[in-house]
Amino acid sequence: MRLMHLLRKEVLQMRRDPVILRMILIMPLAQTLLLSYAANMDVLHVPLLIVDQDRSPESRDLAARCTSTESVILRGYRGTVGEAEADLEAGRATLALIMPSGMARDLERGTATVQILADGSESTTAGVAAGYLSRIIAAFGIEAQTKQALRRGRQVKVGGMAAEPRVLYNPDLRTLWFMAPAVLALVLIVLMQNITSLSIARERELGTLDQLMMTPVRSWEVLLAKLVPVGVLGLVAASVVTMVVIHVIGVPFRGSAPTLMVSTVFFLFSVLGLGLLVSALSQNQQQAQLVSFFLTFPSMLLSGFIFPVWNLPALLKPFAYLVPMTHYLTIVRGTFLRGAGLGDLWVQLLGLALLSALFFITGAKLFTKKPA
Amino acid sequence: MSQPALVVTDLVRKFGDFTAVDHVSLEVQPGEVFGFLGPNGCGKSTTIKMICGLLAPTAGRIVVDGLDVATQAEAIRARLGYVAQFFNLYDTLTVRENLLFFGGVYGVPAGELEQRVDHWIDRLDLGGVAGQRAGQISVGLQRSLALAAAVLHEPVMLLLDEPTSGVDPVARRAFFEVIAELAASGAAVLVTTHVMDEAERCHRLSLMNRGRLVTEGTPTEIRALAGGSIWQVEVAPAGRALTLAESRADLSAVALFGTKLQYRVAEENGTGAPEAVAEWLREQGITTGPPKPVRPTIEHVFLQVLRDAPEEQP
Repeated sequence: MRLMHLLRKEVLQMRRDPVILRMILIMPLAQTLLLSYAANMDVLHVPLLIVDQDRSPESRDLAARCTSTESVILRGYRGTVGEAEADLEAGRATLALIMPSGMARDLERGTATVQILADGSESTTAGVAAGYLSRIIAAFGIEAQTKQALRRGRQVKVGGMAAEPRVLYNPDLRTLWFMAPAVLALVLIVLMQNITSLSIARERELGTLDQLMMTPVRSWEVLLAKLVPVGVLGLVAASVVTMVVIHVIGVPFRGSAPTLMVSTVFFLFSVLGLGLLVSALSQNQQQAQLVSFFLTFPSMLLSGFIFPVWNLPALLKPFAYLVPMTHYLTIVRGTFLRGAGLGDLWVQLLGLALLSALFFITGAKLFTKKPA
Repeated sequence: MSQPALVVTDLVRKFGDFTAVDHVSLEVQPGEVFGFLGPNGCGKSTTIKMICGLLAPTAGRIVVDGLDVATQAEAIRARLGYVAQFFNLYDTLTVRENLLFFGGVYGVPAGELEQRVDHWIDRLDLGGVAGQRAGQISVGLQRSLALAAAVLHEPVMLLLDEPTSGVDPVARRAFFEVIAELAASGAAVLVTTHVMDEAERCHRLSLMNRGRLVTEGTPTEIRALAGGSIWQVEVAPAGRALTLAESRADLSAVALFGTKLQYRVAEENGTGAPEAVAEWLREQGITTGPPKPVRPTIEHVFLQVLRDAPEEQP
């Protein structure tokens, strides 16, 4: 009965708050699309310069092969190494392939070298693209030697071992497939944690919480009435984002919908708990927003959203498991791409359940604490 | 006699080294309007918050309607109505929605809720704004709304913390009429104020200063504490006259109302004293009219009490 009055009040307040409505309708969609495409780590179209000092058929052949990959895009030819360096320094290109004069001649002797200059300030993309080029160049070298050997009627043995990688679940290693489900986690955390903590902090700031606590309502009723509508909104937002990830961004969904749903509910619990904790630690809305903001960074950095958890220093690893997003990311990436089921993910679900309990109990304790 | 609605015994509240409420004891009977007077920061609101259970006392006991706040806070909350010093209702809900909500959480039976809300909307002249958001109505109407929200569940004890701040005198009078009605129907009312004409409307008064209760009694008893006689004289320039009068140790309750200077003359100074003061002011270069006697008010007592209170050493 009392709970119904509290719930009706929360829904009324939410409906009258233009900011919350806008946040719920627009933010998840905008963030999903923006983050999914912006957080793209595929190496494509890295600007490349070519310095061809050999001007032989072989050097032209190698240049053509190097520019045939999608990873690089030919920015132009430069006459000297100095010119190429100047362009790298100015940021007009990230890579330069330098073929010294005499390359074709050295190739016959099997001692040819070419140089790749890479802009280390773009370390990730430059490194990956330089790797692509190295492979093309190595293959080119082997091929050239083989041809020559055959021309001279000699037998050649080249290589000896070859790896043939086959990538499962995401054969093209598309970052988008990897990132888009993760954005679901990020959107939920930013949105839900904020709405929960702001809604409680606002009541504290405006004094309405004092008036409310003067009535016979119990604190758990107040909290439940606040969390239920936010949780429902969270589920709606999660469904919308999931649909967008699957149908607009085109990430395959190989798992079962109920598994994802159950996990999302667990995750929402932990996020609402975090929101409660944030609000219990804040006297007003501004503080709540700041605390939320500072909690979002560790979520992104520790959870494996960008860097894999096993890459973290040993000192930080335990903290990663205190972040709900770490567990949820394993779940969403697992269900979307690998089709993992509840049997594979129970550890993560347990983790989320424990964290939810921890946040809720601490948050509720702090919330009901009277100023001593 | 029925049991008291509120009994506060030796209540103490400290914030660090600062004692905000210092051994306060008081009793309020059903049907009584009890005025709690004192300057800002004297500990009135802190006392009210402890009675409400919003703040834990450092020491002392509070009993509401026979129930101890320390152990039965929840049962007590259903018996209390509280109007805070600042508007504490939901500004995005309408007047009516606020009343339905507070009536609901206070446990007014669903069948009576609408009817009681309508009654109080009508009684407190909120009909014109019932559909407007509480944040958009005038301060005076917000006060009426807060009062309505606090009485829907017919509390045993009504706590009003400066309920009329920001309200014009006409509305303030209407407000106190409603309070008197509530008391007449059996509710106990504890009202804090520093507005003297409100104090005059209380059945009993307590003066609080620096966390301590200084004196207690009916308004008539309190007024009688102002011994001697109060005089009023037209002065110009008023500011300088006030400074001069305040510098005299034999004058108390010195106050300025526009161009009228008031002062209290102790009885032992004799009948010629009021005129002597005016004469002295003229000698100091102040233009004055003839002194006229003034009926003592609670404000005079209050000024006197504050003046007599020993300054606390920092």
